[in-house]
Amino acid sequence: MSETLLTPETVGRLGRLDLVARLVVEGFLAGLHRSPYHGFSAEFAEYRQYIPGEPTVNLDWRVYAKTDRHYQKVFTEETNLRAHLLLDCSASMDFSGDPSRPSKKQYAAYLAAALTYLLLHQNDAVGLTTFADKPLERVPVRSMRRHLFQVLKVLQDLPAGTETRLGDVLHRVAESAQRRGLVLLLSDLMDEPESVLSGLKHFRHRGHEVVVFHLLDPREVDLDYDGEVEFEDLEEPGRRVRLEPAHLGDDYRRRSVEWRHELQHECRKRLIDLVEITTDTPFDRGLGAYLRKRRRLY
Amino acid sequence: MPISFGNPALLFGAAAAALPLIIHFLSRRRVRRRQFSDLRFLTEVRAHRSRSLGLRRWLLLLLRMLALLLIALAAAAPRWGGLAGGGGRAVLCIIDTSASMSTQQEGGTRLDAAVAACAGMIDALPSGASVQIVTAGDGAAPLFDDWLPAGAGAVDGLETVRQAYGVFDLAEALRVAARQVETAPQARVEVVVISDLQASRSADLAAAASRLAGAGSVRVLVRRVGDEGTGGGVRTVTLPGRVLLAGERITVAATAVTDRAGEVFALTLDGETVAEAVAAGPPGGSVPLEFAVTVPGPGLHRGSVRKTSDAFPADDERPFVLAVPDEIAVLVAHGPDRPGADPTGRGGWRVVAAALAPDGEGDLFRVRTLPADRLTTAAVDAAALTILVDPGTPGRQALAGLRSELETGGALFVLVGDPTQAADLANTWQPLLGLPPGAEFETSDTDRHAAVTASDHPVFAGLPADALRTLEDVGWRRWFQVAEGQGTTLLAMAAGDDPVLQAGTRFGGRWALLTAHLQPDASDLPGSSMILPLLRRLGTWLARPRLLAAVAEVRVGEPLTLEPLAPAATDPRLAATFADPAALMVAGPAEGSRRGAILSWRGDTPLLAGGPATAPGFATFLAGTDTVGLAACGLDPAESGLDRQDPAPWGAELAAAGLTYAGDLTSTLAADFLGAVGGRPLAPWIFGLAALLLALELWIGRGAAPENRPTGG
Repeated sequence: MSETLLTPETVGRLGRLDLVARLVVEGFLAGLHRSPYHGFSAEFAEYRQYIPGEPTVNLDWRVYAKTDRHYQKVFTEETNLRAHLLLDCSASMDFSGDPSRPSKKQYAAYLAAALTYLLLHQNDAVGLTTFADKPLERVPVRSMRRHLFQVLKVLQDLPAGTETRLGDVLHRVAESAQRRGLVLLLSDLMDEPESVLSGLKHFRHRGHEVVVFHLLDPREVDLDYDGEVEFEDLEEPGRRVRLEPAHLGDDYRRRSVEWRHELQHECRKRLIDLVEITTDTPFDRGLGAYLRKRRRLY
Repeated sequence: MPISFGNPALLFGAAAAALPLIIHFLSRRRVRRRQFSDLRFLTEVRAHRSRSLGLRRWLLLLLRMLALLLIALAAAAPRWGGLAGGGGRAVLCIIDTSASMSTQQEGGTRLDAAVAACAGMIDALPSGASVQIVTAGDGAAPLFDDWLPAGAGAVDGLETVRQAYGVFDLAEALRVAARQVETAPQARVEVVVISDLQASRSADLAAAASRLAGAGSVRVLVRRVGDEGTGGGVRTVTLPGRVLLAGERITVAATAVTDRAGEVFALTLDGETVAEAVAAGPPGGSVPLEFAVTVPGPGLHRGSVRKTSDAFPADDERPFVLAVPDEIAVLVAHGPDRPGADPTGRGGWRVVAAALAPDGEGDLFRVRTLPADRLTTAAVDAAALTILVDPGTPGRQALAGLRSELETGGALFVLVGDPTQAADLANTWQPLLGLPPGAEFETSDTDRHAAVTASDHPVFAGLPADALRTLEDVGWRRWFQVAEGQGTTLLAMAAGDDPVLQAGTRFGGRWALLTAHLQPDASDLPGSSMILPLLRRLGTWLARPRLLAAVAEVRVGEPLTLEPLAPAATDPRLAATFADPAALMVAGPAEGSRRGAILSWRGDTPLLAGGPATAPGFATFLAGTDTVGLAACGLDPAESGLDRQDPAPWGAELAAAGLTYAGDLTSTLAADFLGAVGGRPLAPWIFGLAALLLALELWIGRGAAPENRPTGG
């Protein structure tokens, strides 16, 4: 059940981002054996009846000694994590190789919504910045539950894309981010690698932890087209290239792999997590990547 | 061009080779436009590989077109070489059906192998070729009424090929083939001779080949079938060349080829083995055999010499007919007696008559004596043998009757011992017998020896050597001498090249002349123990006894003709027998064969004909239920010979006569033979090449397979 709900095709049909975010996150959490955010904080909240079979680590033995009953202590989670979502809204993110799949931008929106929902439910603070060739919208970092709707409102109304200047934008956003936190970049990284890595390096320089969700459409990876095709650039309308993917596919894939490997390698050198995700990938992969990073941090 | 096509219509499929080109140009017009996120890599790839891609595209196109072209070519069933190149030729197959083709070998007979080879050849021929078969075993004849298209129909027609037992006559087969070539639907004809090449009768081969060469554009090939070597067999059977007397002990000679040392051969008479002989020669060699047989009673007896059956059974038994007359009517015509002491006196006829029929009624000879001056034609006709003893000068009518006797196959035996007969001989007997003039001659008292000069003559054959010596030393006294005549056979010769006994043929009849005095008081011969054997053997050799049925010995394939059945048609029994010609039939020699016989007359002698002998055995001529003739049909000895001919001399002879001799296919394997006839099939190779091109096309133009796809996480 959870697996079905987490597929991009399924959530894409739901439309409402809040619903998408909740379903994705709850489905994701239900699939985990142990809550990843259990015990992040030690602030006591209340007692509740112990249910046989539960771990006995939080049993209050004093209460048991007094009342001869089993009670378990429940803690309120507490964190000082500040997560900053950066969502690429450039024209290249509008690409979808298959009408049944969401575009990279839609996928990024779903994933951002799910991450926001998850972060807020952990009482982490989360903010959002959308950008194309420059920052477009900015939602400040907050940890209140109602803050979710501000983020979702922005994600719901993402603007049409323009060309990408990812490196410049990253520098500008990094400059404006005063407090250290977790930067979650959702982008196809369609810019010069050196520029992109320079921007990411800027975040690291300012003490931020960075997770990059490198979003790709499966057809960008495979170039799976029949016959002769005239490709038109989404970021530069009018710029076209005619070729037969069946004949050039190998060469294209080889160059694409080299590019992605270079990004992976450079990010790893800078302690940046880069997660390659295609738009046919279930969302739990993205959420899982975030949680793994979160656990390492706290 | 040596390439032919089994299905030339499918060559139109080669047009399919244009499909890739058409599809290519059509697809160029259907370029789809797609938006893409980033053209960076696409631009780089295209700039880097646009030239090689163009070349590869055209290479792929070429490979596809070539593959389709080859597939269409292979579907048309092309063949390289072969006789009927392009289907524009006719193939005439001459199948040897002669007796030697009945030899058993692995998988059947040689004929089976020949038919199978012919069927395979027809199967291998491309469509469009025409086929005719000529069988040659006892004569040659086309198998089909007209040329047939190569295919199943022609192959089915081969089922009607039947084994014959005659001789393979290549010359006759080529003459029949020439007539068929003239009606062939194609201008070029391949003549394939399939034979075991054993005992071909081809005396006028050059003329027949010339005739075939003139009939059209012809090429001849030879395919020899059959394993090497044949089994042994009985080649010949020889009976004494004279009338056999019932109860007489005779020797039947035979020649045979043995399969093993010490092989036993048997002689049967009327189905019972009456004598056996052991072959003394080595296996595979021709050995003489002798069977001592007692002649059975009067009548026609079916005999055969046979051996243990082997791979070639047709020659393991050789039939013969033993004819034993019930009587021989002899007329002794003599001059007047001259009794007294005159040593040249006459009276020897009594000795002759007494020798043949001591009491006037012998066991076989029925003797009638008659003064020569009362000799009549009727008396001569009524006798199977006329003996003239010092007859003097016969009348004109008597001479005419004697000549008629010779002309109708009769015989004369003349004994002249009287020196006064010299003038008579020169004037009368000499023209009748064709002899030189005689002369008086007196034997000296010291030189009365005479040598037998033809001991193998039927008169002497079978006599022991001491009997011949007795005869030679009998003390020949003679007063009359006749030199050797032209074409005569000297049977006994006295000193000084003086013929004593000579024999010959004249006007179609046999004669013998003995120039010795037979009066007992003038010669030692009448008192000799050899007088009886000599006169009886001379009598049985010369006599043409009146048999109730005619006898003949023919070879398979030769016409069954019986003559003469009887010396005259005046015999009431013969007249009754041939009163209804429609009732005349001939049965055999093939089992179950029965057909009408043809009656004709030569003078007053009836002749019977029954068509060709088709198998070894006996052919019986019947008039109603009466047997009127019996013919022993034996295999031509050449058919059972061990020698198989080399095709090369044939080829040389055919080539000399103007025919194109394309070669001997004997040594080729079955598949190669079919290939040589129908051509080598190229389709498998072309299909293989097409598959190779398609594989190459797939390898060069293999599609983009997804790889290195990110999985996230």
